[in-house]
Amino acid sequence: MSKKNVIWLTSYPKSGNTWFRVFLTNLLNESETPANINDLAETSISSSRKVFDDYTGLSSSDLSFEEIDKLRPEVYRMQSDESNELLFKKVHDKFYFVSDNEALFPPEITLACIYFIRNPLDVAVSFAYHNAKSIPKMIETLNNPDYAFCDNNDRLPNQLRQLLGTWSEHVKSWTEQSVIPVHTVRYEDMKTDTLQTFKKAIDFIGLEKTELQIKQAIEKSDFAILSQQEKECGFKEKMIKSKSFFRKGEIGDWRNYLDEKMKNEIIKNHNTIMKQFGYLDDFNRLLI
Amino acid sequence: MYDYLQMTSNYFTYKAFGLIIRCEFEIPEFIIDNGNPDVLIELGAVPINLNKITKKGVKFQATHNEFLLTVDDVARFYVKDGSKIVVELLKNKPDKEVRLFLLGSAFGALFLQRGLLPIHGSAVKFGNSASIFTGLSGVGKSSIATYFVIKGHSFLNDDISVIDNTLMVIPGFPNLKIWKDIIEKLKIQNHKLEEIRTTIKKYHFPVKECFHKNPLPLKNIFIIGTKNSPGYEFEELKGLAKFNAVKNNTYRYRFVGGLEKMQEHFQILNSLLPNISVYKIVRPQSPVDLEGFAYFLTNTFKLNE
Repeated sequence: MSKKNVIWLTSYPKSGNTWFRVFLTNLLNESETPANINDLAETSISSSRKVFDDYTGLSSSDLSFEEIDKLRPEVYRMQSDESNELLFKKVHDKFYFVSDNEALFPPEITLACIYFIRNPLDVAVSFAYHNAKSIPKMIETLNNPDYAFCDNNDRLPNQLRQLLGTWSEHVKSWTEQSVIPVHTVRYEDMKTDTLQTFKKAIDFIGLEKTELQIKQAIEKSDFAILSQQEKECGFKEKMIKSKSFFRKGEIGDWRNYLDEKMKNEIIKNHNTIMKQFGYLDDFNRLLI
Repeated sequence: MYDYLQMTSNYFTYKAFGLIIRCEFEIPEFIIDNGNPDVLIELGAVPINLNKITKKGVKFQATHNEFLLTVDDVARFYVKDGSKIVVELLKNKPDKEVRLFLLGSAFGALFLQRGLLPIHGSAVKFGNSASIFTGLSGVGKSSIATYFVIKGHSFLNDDISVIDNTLMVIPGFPNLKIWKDIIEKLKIQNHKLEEIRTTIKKYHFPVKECFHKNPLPLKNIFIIGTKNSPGYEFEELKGLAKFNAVKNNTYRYRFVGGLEKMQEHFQILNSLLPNISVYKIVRPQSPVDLEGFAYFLTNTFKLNE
């Protein structure tokens, strides 16, 4: 009998997922001092190659992407079965079925999914900085249906392949599927109405925490603290070419980097989803 | 032990990992030998499930003396008492794909059943001893071993480095598995290299002339990690950190079936650790600079002395 104890923390990159994971760590640790950003458990990343190899007894480096995909749901089921606690798993994959009846992320072990979404205009800028790539290149990436992490088959990346698709497709895959309960969180709401936004997410997961506990965890996860920790000790999730992981995190920072053509291209490509999530009005005017 | 005379004459006999292995089908990766076999590999039906399972994974089951592994569309492997492997084919012949998993996870289980210590990594000869490069998959264990081999060092093992109860590193077989990007980086002629599987750009690199056939004492274990900043760093591990680091890099540690085997495993670790040095090495995640990494290792740890 499977138990529902897995919470997927899901997003397209640079959309607030790491901030929420730091907040959760602080909320669950309940220690006096802020959690160390480098102590967010590595095994909690759903694409961990080590977890896959340990649980299957096979070397993922000897398997094709399709063979790995087929086994991933079973790995999650076994992890869920072995755990007496809630399992929080960071996800960047889009939601998809690996076979006719098998979702990559099995509904029968899923307690909840929190999906983080951010204005794609800001995502493009932040992602470009993170990957040390040009903004036009990242605009292309946001519109690439084949976009994936770790999908080279001529070398061995440290994580399993993750299919992301376009930004719009990623959002749709999670928010429009009907087999897993999803609570969508806008990054902009995390910034402007932090307490209520985080509280709603915690309520959705079903964690019994007081408003005071949530407030204290938010304070310990303040951007200035994360940024200071990174300055002092580095952050292992930063890409080597990027200067820092925690950059600005500001809403509307795209205005400092995108020209009219770049802006219009993103709006054209992702118009429907941007409207659906309150980034554009019916007349294509930006709301944020 | 199996009665040599009772076996059919068309079996193949090899020596690998210090064991005489007799197999119903050809294993070209191994070195031909003769003598009474320690391990028998046969084709046949294997159990659907094991009884009294002590460890279970998505594709394996283990008891204190049995192990069962399924590789979909390839084969099922049943390993018993550290002396027998039965292979049930899920395809028409025991080809390179079958051998890939046989020489990987199935042999890993066999070593653990025999009370050997298999470390997940490659062993290279420096001076009169061996050093093992271990760490997570993708960290470059085979790549750095290949670099040293190309520069004239002998090697003993790729992927699984076996240590016996006399604390010697036992040679495996003369083959490295390397990814296409490393083949290109090291300018290795690749027109004759065979892919491990058709869908994966990882190749067998046979290196008979560089293979060291005799056991060597282990001197160092290097646990390789990566970081997102330039330069190399190292730290010598001591005490519990040393014990845990080697335990965690045991090949298929989750296969260790049952308490008894676990105690045996800890005993060999406890006798080994006072006699070796264990270092955590951190290299930049990119670019992969094998020459610079080898230079750092050689000079910092005086590997050529």
